[in-house]
Amino acid sequence: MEAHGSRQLSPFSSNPIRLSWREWSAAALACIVALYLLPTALPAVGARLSRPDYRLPTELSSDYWVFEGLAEHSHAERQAAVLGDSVIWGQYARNDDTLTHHLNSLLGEPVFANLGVDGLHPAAMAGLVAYYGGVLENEPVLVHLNPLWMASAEQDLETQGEVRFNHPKLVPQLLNRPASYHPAPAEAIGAVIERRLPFLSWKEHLKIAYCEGMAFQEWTLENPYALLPARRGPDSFPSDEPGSQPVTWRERGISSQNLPWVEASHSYQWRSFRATVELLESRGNRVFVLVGPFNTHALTGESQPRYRALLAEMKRWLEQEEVPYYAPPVLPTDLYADASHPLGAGYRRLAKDLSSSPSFREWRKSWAPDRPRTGRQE
Amino acid sequence: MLFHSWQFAAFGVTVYLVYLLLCRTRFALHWLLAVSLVFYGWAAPPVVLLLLYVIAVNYAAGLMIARGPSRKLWLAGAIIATLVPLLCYKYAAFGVESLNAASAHLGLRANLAVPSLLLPAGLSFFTFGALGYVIDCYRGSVKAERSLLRFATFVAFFPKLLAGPIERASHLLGQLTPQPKRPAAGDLADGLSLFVVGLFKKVALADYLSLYADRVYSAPESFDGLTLAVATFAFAWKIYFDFSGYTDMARGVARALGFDLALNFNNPYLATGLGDFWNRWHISLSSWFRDYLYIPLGGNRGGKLGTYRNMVATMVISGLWHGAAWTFVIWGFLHAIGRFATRELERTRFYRDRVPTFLKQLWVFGFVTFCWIFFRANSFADAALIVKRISRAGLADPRFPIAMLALCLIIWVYQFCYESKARRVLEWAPVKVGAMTYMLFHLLFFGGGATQPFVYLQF
Repeated sequence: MEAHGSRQLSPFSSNPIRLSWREWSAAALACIVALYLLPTALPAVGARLSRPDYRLPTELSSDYWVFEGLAEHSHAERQAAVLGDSVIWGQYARNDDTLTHHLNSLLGEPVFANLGVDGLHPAAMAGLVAYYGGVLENEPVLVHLNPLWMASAEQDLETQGEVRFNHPKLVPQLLNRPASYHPAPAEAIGAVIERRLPFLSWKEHLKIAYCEGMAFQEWTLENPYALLPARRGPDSFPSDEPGSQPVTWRERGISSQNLPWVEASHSYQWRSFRATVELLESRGNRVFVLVGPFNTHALTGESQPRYRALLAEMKRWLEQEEVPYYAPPVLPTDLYADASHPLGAGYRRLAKDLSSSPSFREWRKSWAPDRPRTGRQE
Repeated sequence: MLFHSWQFAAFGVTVYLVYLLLCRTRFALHWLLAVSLVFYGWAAPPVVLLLLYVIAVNYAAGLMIARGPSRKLWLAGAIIATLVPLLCYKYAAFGVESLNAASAHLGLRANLAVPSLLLPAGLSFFTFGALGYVIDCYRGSVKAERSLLRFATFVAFFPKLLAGPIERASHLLGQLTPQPKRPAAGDLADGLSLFVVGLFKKVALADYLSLYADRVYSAPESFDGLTLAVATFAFAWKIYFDFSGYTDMARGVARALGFDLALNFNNPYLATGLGDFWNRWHISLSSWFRDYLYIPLGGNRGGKLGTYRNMVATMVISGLWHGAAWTFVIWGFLHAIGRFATRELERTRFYRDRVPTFLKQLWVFGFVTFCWIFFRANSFADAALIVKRISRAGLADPRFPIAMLALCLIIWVYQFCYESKARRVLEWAPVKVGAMTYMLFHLLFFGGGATQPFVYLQF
């Protein structure tokens, strides 16, 4: 036990990494430069994005870096964007059988870009637009409102217990949080910082697009002898095929449901949707809202009046705020794949109804002449 | 509260800024004590009572010893009263389980109820810190502290409270003057340097290595010899990075506030003997055992047999300090054996002069790594199984990530360079700045995921 006592050793005896303030400044500067330069090293989206009817692969739904790249591309290449959840994405349709595709076909040119994101409820949409949708500034935006997110207190994120839901990083983390959301402080602060620092979104993108959704460390455990991920980014994820089998809701075995519906005045999701519209308008976006069409065939008689009351309240607000909108009548029953998603034929019908509706035509007229048509012919 | 958490980031900044305002006033120590108690009670406020109890007992004992009469009695009373909570919380279950097992072996079937007490974090560390003080008072090497505030701040000083270093009164108490010096800008730069290195060791290295080591050690029966050996190698580095990372962060925080805490690790895997290893590993604990146990037992004054007896006793108790299980006893005993072996080898001219240093370092690392099996295994049966499988040398692909191996080797080479003539290169400003930039970038790029508590918090 003959020892040299610890007190004979200086504080930096075991390593020489002791920086002066000048050296600290150099290290911090080098780090900041790396943080800003590295995200430009890998493009968010590659060649596939330029294909007609490209839509965000479902595996990349939480990859907001790619969404931002997609929005930027749509801003440059298309005249308008269509925002929404999997109804816009086209869960039960091929990419060339979605609402966006059929609208473009009817208009005879690629006007609209499909910016649908799987699971994007209104509260998440508000966050997506606020933090990653800035590139859409001044662009005409068609926003889809899926009433399904207000079908129950649980979907409205207003139950007191913990509810697992999509895109938690996009909802408010500190103030005005949904009642169902109780993140750990570190998680909430991490999400807030990630939105503000592009590097962190890029880091998350690498994780999702290159490391199968795992942290790099965990990925190396699964692929111990690989030096770099073999997957080559967003382009390697297919998004042409439907996300689920395109059969009608009856064939799927869905029966009529007695959905409780929340009141618009108490709805968190509706409040978030309104905030999204207001934010877009404040950014100079010309907003058009498409409401539904919800599959009321799948509602019990008891549920229908509550749904109609909610719908009326939404319409009242849109009219009051002079937001152009279209609330199409319910589609024929066999054009639905479930309570809210149309099948391909349903989208075709919806596109036809929508494009011929006076509010839509007037909305389009308000911006179509303003912009040069730069998109490619499909 | 963990150093690598958002809570600590907010806590640390607040403590530092207020301390800057208060350090030249008589409220500086009040502030340090208050925040230390908040830090300790953050997760479970009642444990603060335990800390206050240890402070009260040792403060009073120090004063009574200084007065003169019955000094030995006061010392014995203080030692017993201080050790009681540690024995109850840490060893009661182990003692009862061992009694039950022994009685069952003898056919008596005592079946005493096993107490389930959750060990408060840091108890072993501040208990030893306070005991060191009271023994030093008895020996006269330290003057009894009259200010309860100073003494309480010494015991509870938050950077070293949970996992050391185990500070000596002669080192830290003197720095806790009623109006401590204002931390200089250089102190903050030094503190940040230490903290970032520690954070890197913990988050980038220890937590990463534990992904592999924990997976294998949680089900050793599912893996063959080579995988178990590699997992033990991973654990050896994980525990070093984890504990030395904590210490670096603790020393960094203290340094930023203008205080020096003792160096606790000094590149232990470059040791050339087991004695050398313990002069480099958990230095504050090994020197504590040396000064307060090994030397009082007789040290190396009782001939070879007495020396080895004292070494075994010290190392076994050191093993038990780490954890209340027979695996820790074996771990301590193996280290004692290793110490005899290297001590005797070092007495031979051939070993001393002819065996290359690198080979000595390699065998010491190999031996220490072997001992970690008993430290890490969940039970004696697991440890025995691991040793058995490793000895059979199964050669199934261990699937050890190449990135993990590369990180360990880079650090090892770095440490070798540090203890060689190449050290000057490492001290060259661009190298230091480059290394720091890489660490910061690595933390930002790979960090931010789920973090794990420090291993030594459980001791």
